[in-house]
Amino acid sequence: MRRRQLISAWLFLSPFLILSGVFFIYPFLWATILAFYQTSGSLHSVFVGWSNFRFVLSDPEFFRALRNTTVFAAFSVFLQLPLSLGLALLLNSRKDRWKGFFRLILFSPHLVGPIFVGILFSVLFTARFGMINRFLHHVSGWGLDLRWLADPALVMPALVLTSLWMYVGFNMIYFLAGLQNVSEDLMDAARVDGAGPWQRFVNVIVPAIKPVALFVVIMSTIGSFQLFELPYALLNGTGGPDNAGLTIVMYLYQHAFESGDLGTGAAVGWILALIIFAISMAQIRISRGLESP
Amino acid sequence: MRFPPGNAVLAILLTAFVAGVLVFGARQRMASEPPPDLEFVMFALNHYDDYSAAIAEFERRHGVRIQMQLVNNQALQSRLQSALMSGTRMPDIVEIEASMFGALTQGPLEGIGFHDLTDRIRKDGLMEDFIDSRLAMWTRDGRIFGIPHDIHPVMLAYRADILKEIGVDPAALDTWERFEAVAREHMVADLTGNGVTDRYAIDFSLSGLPELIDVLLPQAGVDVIDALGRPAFNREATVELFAWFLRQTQGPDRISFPAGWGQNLAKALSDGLILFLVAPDWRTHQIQTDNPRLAGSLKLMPLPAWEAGGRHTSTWGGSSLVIPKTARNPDLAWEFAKFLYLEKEFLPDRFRNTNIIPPARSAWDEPFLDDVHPFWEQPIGRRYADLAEDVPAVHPSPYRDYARNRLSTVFTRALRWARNNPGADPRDFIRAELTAAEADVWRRLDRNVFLAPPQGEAEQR
Repeated sequence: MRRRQLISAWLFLSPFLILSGVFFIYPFLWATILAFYQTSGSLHSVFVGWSNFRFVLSDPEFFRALRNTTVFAAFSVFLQLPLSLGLALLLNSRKDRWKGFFRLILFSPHLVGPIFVGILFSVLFTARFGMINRFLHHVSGWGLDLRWLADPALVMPALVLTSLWMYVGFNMIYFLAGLQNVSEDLMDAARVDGAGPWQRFVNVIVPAIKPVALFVVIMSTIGSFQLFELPYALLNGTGGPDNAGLTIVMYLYQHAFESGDLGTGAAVGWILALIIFAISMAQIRISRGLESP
Repeated sequence: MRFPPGNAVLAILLTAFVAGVLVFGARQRMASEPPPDLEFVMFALNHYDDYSAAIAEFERRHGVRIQMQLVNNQALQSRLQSALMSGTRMPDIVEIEASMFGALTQGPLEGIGFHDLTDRIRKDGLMEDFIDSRLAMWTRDGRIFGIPHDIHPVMLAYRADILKEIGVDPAALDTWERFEAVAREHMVADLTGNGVTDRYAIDFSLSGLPELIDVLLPQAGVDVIDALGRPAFNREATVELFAWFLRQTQGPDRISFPAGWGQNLAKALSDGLILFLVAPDWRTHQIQTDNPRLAGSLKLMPLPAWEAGGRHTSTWGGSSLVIPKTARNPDLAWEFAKFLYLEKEFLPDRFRNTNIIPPARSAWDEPFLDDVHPFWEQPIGRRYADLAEDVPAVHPSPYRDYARNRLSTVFTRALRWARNNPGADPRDFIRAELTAAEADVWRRLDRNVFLAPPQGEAEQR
């Protein structure tokens, strides 16, 4: 009986183990080995030691990509998430049937995918004829010839605006779920004690949603550092003017798949993984530090 | 009798078994259909439509079956690269775009996944029929891997009706210096007096791609990568050209507007926001399709030269047929390639459907090129054919795309510098940026262990 249970357990685990082995463990190990080779596709490879890492860590384009990605991640955390939380608070205060309707409206941009959104916004951002410039000019008399995707100074704002439209509803859903943990009794007690809206937010709501908020911050940071499809579609497969929209994953893609050097791509992948790991650990430590008395 | 591990496991195993049987059955059914003799993949919709008649005739003459597949340009490059990287089977013959060639032929020469066509081209007497500058586009280390589909000479398309209205004679615009002067004086205008310029002379992008780097630099005799695989753009001619292009694209005296592509370009052209745009032969078909109401209003003229008596054309883009080494019948693929591109019976209709002149010299005397085009009201075939011999050479390299984008970065930085330093001379800044860009390209070239060192490297550096 025990042996049969053991066999059943392994049989149930086997799909996960096989898939993990094929799609995670093997590529993980192979990428580690590949990072020390220079390749031309997978058929030609030469051992180069640490050369790939030295090249990447001395390439100004890599640091440009790192800077762009970090700036984008900062906007994701400090602009997008507060907006998501604000929308969640607004929606949570509604108790009528329109709540579900607005939740769908705000979440639906996330459903269409970054490639579609990138192509859509590349048309909206067109100088002179695009809807965004037309709207700006109509409202303020200014901005008709703004070159969102051709001016290095405007590429990052364009990316941030596009990602705001796409992701603010997605993160809002997480915050909405977290707000269900807020005790109504505590809120009532705080109201009775004379606490204003801001004090209730800081002292009752924030502590209650902290686990969800930490999760959203970490996931948002990881997602930001893995940004690729949106700028790729928006900037037509390039890093944009003066590489203003070049991200780390796009840099990886250029080396691994456009240049065929999988080894350098693997090295970039490892550097990216270490960066994300370091940032995530820092975020968790900061969160624990805030919790301890 | 109970299944010992349980019903759930039984259900999973049965589902897996049924799925496997279905997949196996579908594969067996596919395998039982006779495969085509040639799988031909291409990326251009207008080519796909145009080749049908020629393919039907080839099939009839040779008793073979050819399967045509249309694949998006970027998807085609990705799939070919994946197949080349992994050594898996590719179509028997593929039409690729010029920008793909460098990426698909990187690595050691013996590792290139396409057949070397040099000896076939020579043996069939085609070396003299194709111009050298065009064969250069499909050559790597002296070996030719593609049979060219086109020449793509470049002219300027312009609003003849508006130029007539404002009293500008296009025949007088024989140099870019003259063009700039006339444009500034007569073409650029605020027609409504609201402070917003309503008319610019020409469509130039703000990234320098494609007009500056792909068209004007080669016209001026500057190539991004030379025939020996070396970066060749760090020259005084490039500095002068970049400074010139800066004047036309930024500042209060600019003469150009970046109209973009597609509907934006069509609107800019039909509104008269731009009067001129760069027009290789293939683009004229797009222009007439997107602007049917401008029939008779648009004309073509050769590019103004950089100096009196200089070159009046350039080239932009190109495609060719390559035969992957995994082709099942390379000899049949080669016969098909020659038939498709060179068989004279189909050239008139191909030209009428695409406006693209044939790639071979022997076809340039054909009478169909003298037909007056109903949209342009000019014999555009003859105009382009007359410029074909003068088309500059463009040399492929795995680093060509990187070098192009790096040059675009140089231009973008120069644009920003010019905006921050109005009226100042940007040449020293451009020189420094070009030197840094050249060093970046060399850095990537140097670390590639698969490429032989570019010839004359020591002299270059």
